[in-house]
Amino acid sequence: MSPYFPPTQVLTGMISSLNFSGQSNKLIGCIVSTESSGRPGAKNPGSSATGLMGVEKIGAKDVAQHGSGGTFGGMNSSQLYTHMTDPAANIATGTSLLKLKIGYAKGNVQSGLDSYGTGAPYGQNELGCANGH
Amino acid sequence: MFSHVLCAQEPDAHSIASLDFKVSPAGDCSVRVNGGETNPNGPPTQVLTISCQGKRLLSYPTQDALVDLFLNYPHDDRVFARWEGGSHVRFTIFRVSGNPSVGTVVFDKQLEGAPDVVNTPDVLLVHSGRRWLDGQAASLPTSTDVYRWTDGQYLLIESWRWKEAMRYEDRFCVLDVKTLSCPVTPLPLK
Repeated sequence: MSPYFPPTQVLTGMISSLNFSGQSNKLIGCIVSTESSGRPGAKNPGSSATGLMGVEKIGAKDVAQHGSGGTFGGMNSSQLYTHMTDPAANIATGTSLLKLKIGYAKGNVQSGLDSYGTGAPYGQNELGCANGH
Repeated sequence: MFSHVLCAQEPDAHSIASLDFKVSPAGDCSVRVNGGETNPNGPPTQVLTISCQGKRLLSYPTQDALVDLFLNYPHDDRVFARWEGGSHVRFTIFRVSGNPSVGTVVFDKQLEGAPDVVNTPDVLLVHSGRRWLDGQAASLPTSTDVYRWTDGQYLLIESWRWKEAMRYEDRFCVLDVKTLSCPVTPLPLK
């Protein structure tokens, strides 16, 4: 498991305001820790994963087409993806995507998390993190 | 030494990407990826199919979205597909072999980033972990697993932990650790 980087007070407040996932703010903080260690400008050198929650182009597209949690000013997927280093846009998009993934997994949170991240045991680890912090 | 990335052909009206290749003894084969929004209440699904001489050998559905398809010359019995999903990369390798020919999935993992595909030696370098550099947005991997193509399967043969001195361009040095003064320490195989 990755070391846990607790979100800053500002980030904690942002997660509280923009968490559209239907899951706990602690869980989102754990995902942020895993994906970026809390770095808004994070870029994965081996994929398009960007920002606090490591949102990829296809994730932004899925949210732009199907997401119901956030309002993104009518941006299309490309426009939305260009904002993924913006902490607020990233949290709103990432948590909306997580909600979609959990829905695709028929409400199974762990499976939805596995689908969001690197597969099992990603979901188990993130839920364990959320329960432990 | 490194893989040749081939441009996928212009897809037809119904496909996202396609690629033609020739393999013995199957002959002329093609890979096609179709995407659909057929079920508005279900996840977006893409389907990769491999056909040889007009006969469908394999159908592979996934909820991830294709990034690219490529071959790894001269190992033309395998097709490599890179997909993305939430925050991960799915890397899938398909093989056509046998007589009569069959299509099989020989590697399929959700990873933190795309692996490096090397043709000589015939290996995959699968990187994991993140080490952030001060003031930089990109991270470096903390470990690398080496999978060698052996007797029709990818076998994990080595696992390495990178030292702090590792630079991103160093990641191929695990192919010859001693000669290249590679900044790694061995890890036990999982």
